[in-house]
Formats: sequence, structure tokens, C-alpha cells
Amino acid sequence: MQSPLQYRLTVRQVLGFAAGLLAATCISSSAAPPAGSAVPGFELPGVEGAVKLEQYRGKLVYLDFWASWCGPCKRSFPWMSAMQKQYGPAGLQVIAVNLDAKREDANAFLNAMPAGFTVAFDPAGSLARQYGIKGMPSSAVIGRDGRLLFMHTGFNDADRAALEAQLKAGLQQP
Amino acid sequence: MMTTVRIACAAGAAAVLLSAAGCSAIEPVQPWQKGMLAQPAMRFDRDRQEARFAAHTYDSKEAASGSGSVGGGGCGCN
Repeated sequence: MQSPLQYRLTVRQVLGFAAGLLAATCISSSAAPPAGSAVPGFELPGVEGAVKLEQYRGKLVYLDFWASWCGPCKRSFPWMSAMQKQYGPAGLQVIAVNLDAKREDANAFLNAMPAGFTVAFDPAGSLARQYGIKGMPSSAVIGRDGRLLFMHTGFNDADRAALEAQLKAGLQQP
Repeated sequence: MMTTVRIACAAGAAAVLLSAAGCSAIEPVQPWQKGMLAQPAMRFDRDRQEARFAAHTYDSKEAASGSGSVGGGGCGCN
């Protein structure tokens, strides 16, 4: 049949491909940054001009990821508006990053559901990928020092009070 | 004979490797890419009200055997 040398080469090739596959899998599924790590800055198109994370250094940033077709996202909008209104003077900034592939979908949603906070657009999902988003909506809370405090996936009525308490605690931190 | 088998083995190995390499190019669908699935046309039922009504009828008929979901049934035994 085959010579031992040839067989060994085939095994090596198979192992190489397996390693390659594994590496490719690891790259494609980016993990969320660990809590406490400094988050990378971003610049995304917004409703009026670019939205940069840099602009909000020193504030507690509630970075929300949403899409027009997502039901819980719709429920979270009034809550985020209320949070911005209530805690904005104390240093909270809500930035809602839209992940719709089509801007028209996002615009229709925003017309029906006015946002009392900053909205940015990331149709390619590059920022969502950086944060390793696992569900819709997801939020990342970035402390005044530019470090990630925590991440949260989903939104329901039970989350409101707990999230608000966490935001209040985050506002107290330097 | 020997050569034929060898060529067949090599071709088989190449086919497996090529197909495996193809797998690495497939990226899992990300949560924000599931907008199509959220459209009303993608529902299993045509009408939510009608589906709940059908489920209620099914529940009452099958009350003893655990109904349509995986939760406990009506018999109080599980």
C-alpha cells in the first residue's frame, strides 16, 4: 500500500489543517473584553456628525447595541431616554449603536421611537464584533476612567432596576 | 494496482482536506445579522392568537401527558 513516509506526511497535513481550522474559529468568534480592561476608542457615523468615544472621556458611558427588528431593543429605548434624562447631569452618556444593515430601517425606527440620547451607526458590526456581542440588545458600561465596568445582554422589565443601580454605582466611581 | 490505490488514497485525502478548508471560511451568523429571522414571514404560525388558541386546545386534550412543551404535565407526577 503506502510507504510509511507518505503516510506520516498525510497525518502531518491533516494536523496542520486542523490547527488552521481551530485558529480560524478562534479568530472569527471574538470574545468580550474582560471587565476592568481599557476599551479601545471608536469613531462611528452618528445622526449629526461622527460619534467618538473620546468625546465622552470622564463620563460613564452606557454603550448599547441595538437593531430595528429587535423587540427588547424597542422596550429599552424609553428606559435609556429616562436614564439619560435623569443621570445625564451627573455624568451619564448613553450611546446607542445601531447594527442594522440598512440605514432606512434604523431611520424608520428612530422616527417612531425618538431617542433622547446619542445614536451611532455601525452597519458592518465591527464595534459589536470587538465587544463579542452574544445577543440583542447588548450593552457595555464604560467607567469614567475609560475601563469596562460590565456587560449586559438582553433587556426585560426585571433588568431595569438592577441596571439602574449599577449605573448609579458606576457614577460614584472616579 | 498499488499505484491506483495510492492515487485513490491521495485523492480522498485531498478531498477531505479541501472540504475541511472550506469550513474555515464559514463564519457563524452573528446576533446582529438575524434581522431576516425576526420578520413576521419567518414565524412558524400564521397568527399568534390562532396559535395560542390551538395550543390551548392541545393542552386540554393532552393534559395528562405533558402538553406541547417540555415542562411538567397536568398529572403532578413530573
